[in-house]
Amino acid sequence: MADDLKRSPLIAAGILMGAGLGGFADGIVLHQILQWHNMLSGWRPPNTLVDAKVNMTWDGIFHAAVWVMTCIGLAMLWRVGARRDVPWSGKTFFGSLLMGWGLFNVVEGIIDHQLLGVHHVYEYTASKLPWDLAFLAFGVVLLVLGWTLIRGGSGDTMTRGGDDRT
Amino acid sequence: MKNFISRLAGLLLFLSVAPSVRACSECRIQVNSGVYSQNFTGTLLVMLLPIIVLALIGVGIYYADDIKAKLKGRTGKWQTTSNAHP
Repeated sequence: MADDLKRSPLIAAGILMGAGLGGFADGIVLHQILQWHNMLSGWRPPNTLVDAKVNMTWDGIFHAAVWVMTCIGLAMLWRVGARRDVPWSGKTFFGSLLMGWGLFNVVEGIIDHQLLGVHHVYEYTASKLPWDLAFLAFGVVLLVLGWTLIRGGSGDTMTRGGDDRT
Repeated sequence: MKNFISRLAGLLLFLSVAPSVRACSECRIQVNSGVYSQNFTGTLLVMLLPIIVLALIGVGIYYADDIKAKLKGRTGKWQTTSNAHP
């Protein structure tokens, strides 16, 4: 019976929500509160009011995109809750949230910071690489923590309706 | 209290006519042309690229078990057929 259980839908919902929330953490903490970088600050440094406002608009578009991703994750979670073949495991879900955040840091860090140079984690320094690498390292730590939690929840068999499918 | 409110109103009035605020209303056209330039679509795609990658990973994992089960089923079917007609 436990062989029929599918864990990947819950993991996917957690990953998308975690990636979306990780995007919000990046946008709120690094773009707005600390102002270490903006969405296009590598291409168009916010040195004038016009450039700052152009960056602000792109920050908003980025926030809108991660909001949509979070909503897709939430919709997946809603559907998963109605399924009797998916175990409702807290460890699996919270592990997936951490993995999602870690994936966001790694994917965004590699594409935006390293490949395209759209922006860097801390723009206002001559050596940007250590900050970018620290951002990637934090992502890897989150991935490992998330993976460990997911493995810890691999024995969970209770579905949301309270069925134990062992 | 009245004193505080009148001072606050004075401060707000000062801020509303401060050069930065006027610059904002004057620079609006420049900001719009900076955002919605001919590079808009390209910049949008570049900006959305990590999010598209993450969404594809998420959707792929969501259906991973179903895809695996289908592939397993197909392989099983093929093996049964091949066993029946060696």
